[in-house]
Amino acid sequence: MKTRDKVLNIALPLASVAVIFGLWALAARAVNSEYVLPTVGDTFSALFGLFKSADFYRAFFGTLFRSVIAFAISYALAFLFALSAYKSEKAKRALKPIIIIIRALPTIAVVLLLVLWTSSKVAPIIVTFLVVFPTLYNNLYAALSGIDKDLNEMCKVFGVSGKKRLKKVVFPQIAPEFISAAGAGLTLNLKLMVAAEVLSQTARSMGYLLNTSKIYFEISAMLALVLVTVVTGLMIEWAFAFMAKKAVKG
Amino acid sequence: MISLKNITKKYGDKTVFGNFDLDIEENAITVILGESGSGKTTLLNMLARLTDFDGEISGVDKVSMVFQRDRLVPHLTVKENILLVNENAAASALLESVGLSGAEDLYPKELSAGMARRVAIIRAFSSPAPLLLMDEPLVNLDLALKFSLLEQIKELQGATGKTVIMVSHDVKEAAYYNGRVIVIKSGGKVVLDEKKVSEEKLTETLLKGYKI
Repeated sequence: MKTRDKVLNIALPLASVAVIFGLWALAARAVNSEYVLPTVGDTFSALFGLFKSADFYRAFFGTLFRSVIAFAISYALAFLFALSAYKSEKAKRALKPIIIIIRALPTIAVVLLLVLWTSSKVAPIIVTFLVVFPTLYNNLYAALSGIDKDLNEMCKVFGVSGKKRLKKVVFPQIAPEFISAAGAGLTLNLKLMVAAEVLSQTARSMGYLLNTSKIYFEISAMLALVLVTVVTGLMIEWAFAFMAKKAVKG
Repeated sequence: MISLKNITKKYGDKTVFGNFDLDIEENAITVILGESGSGKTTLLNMLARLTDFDGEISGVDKVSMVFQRDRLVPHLTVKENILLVNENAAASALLESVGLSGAEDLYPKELSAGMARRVAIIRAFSSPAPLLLMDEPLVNLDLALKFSLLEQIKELQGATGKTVIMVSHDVKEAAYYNGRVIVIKSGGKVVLDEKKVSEEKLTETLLKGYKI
């Protein structure tokens, strides 16, 4: 990559972020009320305040833990479903209505029902699974469908062992899609988890902190929590995009 | 000797081969010549066990193949593509024999069509399988490259002693081998089976029955 491209790759996202913060600063000045839209400075003060609080870390890691659990279940099942659909047309047809029904479920209504049926800690996990699973299934199925059948046939003719075929031929073809699907899925998972925690009133969670801040009208704290969620999501996506790039290069 | 006995292959209602018999001499190049749709590729696919058929094929254990499309693994280098089919292959020496020294670390997308075809041919020759199937390996190449590759295939066959079955629809190519040429027509009918047959005779045989 040329030096100019490298500089642009860093400069352009930074410029976009600067524009967002600039617009925010202008809007805060125009509104001139910390109870409607706090300034960027007030929000960062609230953010540093959060970093000093043990409750914040308990909430942050609680949410992250539940997100990872929900994501792991979604990814494992999506992979099994996608593999079955890829291997068998009958399985694909049988799974289609299940995926459509899960995708059509009204998320908010399901959260409220799940809180009644399960607990405030389990409900967000099930809800995020129900939203993330169909997307992951589609992405993983698309990746598996993209495996070059001619290369598989070539390996069969030359008697390349199954293990070697998977490692050298199949895995590098699907790895970039599998990794980027994981990154996007985990980020979506985190956002949904926070939303589901707000509705479920999950103790020791980012959602709970957001709700408490709302009750006490601490808008700067709410924005600080949103910032934490956004930055965490971005870091996850960047990490997975980096891994996907590495997987392509081998 | 490789023997095909009483081979029948159908695609739906269409019989591609009906009670087809053929013996192929080992350690030599045999060219199967025929028009499009005469069953040439199907014949190779049956030998490679890539398609079902009725009948018996004997004398075939392991095979290697040069496909119509090169089928090189795009994320592996030239050397890795060769080592994929035989970990002990002397990849560099083989590449040098076809004028590709220094191409070991290139990826397939960095190769010209002629280079990619040579790599596919070298990959097939580097396999330990005694039978090598070639499905129109020189199609879409310019004339000079085609004849240069024909020479290289002959040299590699001589050096390795492999049994090579090559299908083609090009009479020039078939005659150039100066070996056994079998002409098949639709339905798996052998209309000519001779050694050292001229280009003119091959053209005449292929055109017989056609109104021009």
